[in-house]
Amino acid sequence: METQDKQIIYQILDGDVERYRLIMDRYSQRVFALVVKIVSCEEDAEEITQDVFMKAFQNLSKFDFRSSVSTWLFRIAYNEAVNHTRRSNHQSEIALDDTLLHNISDAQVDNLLDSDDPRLAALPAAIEALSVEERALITLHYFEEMPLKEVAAMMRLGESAAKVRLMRTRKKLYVLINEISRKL
Amino acid sequence: MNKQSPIYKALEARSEGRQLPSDFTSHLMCEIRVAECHRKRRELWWGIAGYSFAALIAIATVVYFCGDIFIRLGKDMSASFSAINASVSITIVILVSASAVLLTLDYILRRKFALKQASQSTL
Repeated sequence: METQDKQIIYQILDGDVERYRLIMDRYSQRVFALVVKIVSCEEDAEEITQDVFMKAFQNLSKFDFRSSVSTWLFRIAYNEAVNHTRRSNHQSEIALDDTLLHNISDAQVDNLLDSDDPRLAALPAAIEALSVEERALITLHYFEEMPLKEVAAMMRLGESAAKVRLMRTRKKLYVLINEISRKL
Repeated sequence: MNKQSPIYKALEARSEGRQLPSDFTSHLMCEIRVAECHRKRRELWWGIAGYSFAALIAIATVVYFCGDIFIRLGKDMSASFSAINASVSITIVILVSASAVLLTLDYILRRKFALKQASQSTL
């Protein structure tokens, strides 16, 4: 797959633009699925996916083959999703007090998030209340199963900073789940 | 992460049943073709402008430093071969054509060589 992608990219760079269709056929649904998880709105996700492939095409000559094509596309998708959300002011993030998060232990979070507790019915709403960066972080790490090091590089963070942010996001989910399920 | 974990399932549900329209690729390919066409045209004009500028600089340099030699050569040639009217303008035309051909060849060869080298080093 990787070698095939590279060959296709060289053919495109050599002038065979039509070959880009193969890259889109292979990755467009995956990129869209990632973006829709991050931004929620289907129309926005479609627009962002379009921008991602346009930008990828325009910067194809800068692709250094150090990462896979999917990782490269995900990096563009992440940046586009964050920029789009900032531009359109669609942030639905709920800010939480840091001291509140500090008082929650990792064990408490793990016990809730890895269980079948009925409060977890509020998990989708809690995910929706996260910031776009936090949603991207958990999507890339937990759903796309990307190593934290790779996610950190994508988000221009150090590995330890990404780890801290992941812990913080999990604690935030814990608080939000409890708050939302109390209201339900 | 375990695919049965609540976070995985909740994230999965966010994209469930949501798909790109079937004409997404075709629609985007049209836009890409147009963008590519514009880019090539822009590149061509910049190429022409760049090479013309380079040729002008080359001619100006040659004329500035070797103008006298060419004029003298032209005079000598016309004296020796009266049938041939070798003038500075003919020399300039030859120089321009030669530099244009050389610069174009340089561009094509460098591009081909760079692509071949890149594909050999990574494939």
